[in-house]
Amino acid sequence: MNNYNAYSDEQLLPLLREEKPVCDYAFDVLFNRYGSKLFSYCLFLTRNRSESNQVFHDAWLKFFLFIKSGKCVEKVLPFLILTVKHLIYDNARKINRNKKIRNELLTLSDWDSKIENTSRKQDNNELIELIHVAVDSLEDIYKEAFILKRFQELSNEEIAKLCNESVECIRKRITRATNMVKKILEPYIKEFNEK
Amino acid sequence: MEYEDKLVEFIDGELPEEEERELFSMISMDDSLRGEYKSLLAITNTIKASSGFYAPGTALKASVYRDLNISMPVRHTPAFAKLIQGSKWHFLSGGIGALLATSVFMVSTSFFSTENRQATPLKMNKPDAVQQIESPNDLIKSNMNNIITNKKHNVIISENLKKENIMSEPVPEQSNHNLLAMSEPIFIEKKSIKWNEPELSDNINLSDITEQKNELQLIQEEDFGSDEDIGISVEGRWSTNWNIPKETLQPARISDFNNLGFEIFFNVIDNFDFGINIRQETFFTKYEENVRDDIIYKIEQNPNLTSYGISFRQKFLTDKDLQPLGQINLAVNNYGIILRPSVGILYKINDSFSLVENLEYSNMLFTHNQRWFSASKIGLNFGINYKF
Repeated sequence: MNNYNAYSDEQLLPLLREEKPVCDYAFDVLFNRYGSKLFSYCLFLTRNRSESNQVFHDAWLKFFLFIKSGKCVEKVLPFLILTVKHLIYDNARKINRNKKIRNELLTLSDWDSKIENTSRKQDNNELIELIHVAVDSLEDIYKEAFILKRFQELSNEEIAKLCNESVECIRKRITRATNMVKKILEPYIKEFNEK
Repeated sequence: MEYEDKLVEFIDGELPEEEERELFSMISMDDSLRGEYKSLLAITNTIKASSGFYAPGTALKASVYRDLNISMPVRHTPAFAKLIQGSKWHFLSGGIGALLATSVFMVSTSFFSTENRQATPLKMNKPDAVQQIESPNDLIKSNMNNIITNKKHNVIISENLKKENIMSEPVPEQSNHNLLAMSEPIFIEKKSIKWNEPELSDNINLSDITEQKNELQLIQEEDFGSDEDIGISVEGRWSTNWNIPKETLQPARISDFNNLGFEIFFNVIDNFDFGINIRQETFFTKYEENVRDDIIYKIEQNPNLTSYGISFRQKFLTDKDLQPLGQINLAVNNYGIILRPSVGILYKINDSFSLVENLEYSNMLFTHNQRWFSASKIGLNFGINYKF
């Protein structure tokens, strides 16, 4: 078996159209490369694990069928993120969830119950919970920019494309969102540093 | 506020170099800015380290793969398999190195033993310059010393030998009971030496010496006159297999005749060979796995593997053309270890070529998702052996 892990996305995408087992190996590498990032995005947007599972599942199905149908994808993660966004908005439209989402802003205890309990094991996991809460308190435009930049590690250009904004605008949003999160977390971080 | 933004840009790698220097000088002077920088680093590092925190569960992954009809590759690899995967070339070069070292060892052993055989029996020290020898006694002493150090081939002189008859001065003490070698083949240049030949011949009993000489000549002829093999042979094998358990899922797609192996044997002692081998082979295995809590998958696999191993072979009735043999092989591949006992026969076509056929039982132990499994098969090998 070739070491497909060393392949770039551009090399792997055409392999998805190949016969088994090549397409299986290529898909597995892409799934492992972007699965966690996409799932975190799903969790941020839905704030619900079961719904995240559903959206995540459907996004990969759409992506795979899209490639199999012979169409081209420029960048894998932005494509998957866009697919997730569309899926969530579609679901929201269907069940008129917009109001519901706003009413469902999570408290810290909610995060505790919905994110795996392993988070309690280490200070880092406590800090990541706090970051979640801080991010969740941001306005949607800042939140999205922050998540895509910090968690999904997309470039400013990729985020700009996803959000239909200019690169400069996205850069400002990211800077502002990061400073806002830092302000919220400053006392906690000091506490962690003192530990 | 301005510097806070620059801190973010710096962390994202978007700050121009000139501004970086300015920012650093500010950080070094401003305690609060330094605190801000540390907070920012803590946040970004925590986020980066949290990637595993969001990993989709195995059930979710399995459902995606199932719905897309994607096979889940085996994730777990045992430690020794990693070693092999990481150093396949090391194994190959090690094998070639072992082969070369063994060849050199065997050839050099053969060479030195040849030297010894040639040197020991009949070669007597002939003086470098005959002119320097003043009397036969010098020559006798020289050869005596040689014989004393070479007790394997002592030549016994007759007991009634009178020392005064062969030399004017007394023979050294150490030679008093056993040795003196004075015979025709020893002193080839005897004509150039002025001594009383009839006198010597009269006093030495040559019958024993001649007998030993003839015997040694025979040994020499046996040793160097025949076509001696160097104890290395190569063997190519093909085999047909019966898997245990039997295939149930599309059995027609599984070829029973797909194993190929090469082996180099080194003759260690008379009928005992040590071999190193490489082999392409398949192992059929069935097992069950809980992919999700509510679903158990029954898995059948027939992976094609390359195994590297060592063998020990004992041959019997080596004087006959048809030789029974017993063999045990220990091999490793990317997924497990294989133990392979076998019995067979070796039919000599001529001095170099033989046909080999043996029946073997192979058992491979391997791990998958932290559990041990085994796969077995019975194989019938057909091969050709060439002895160098």
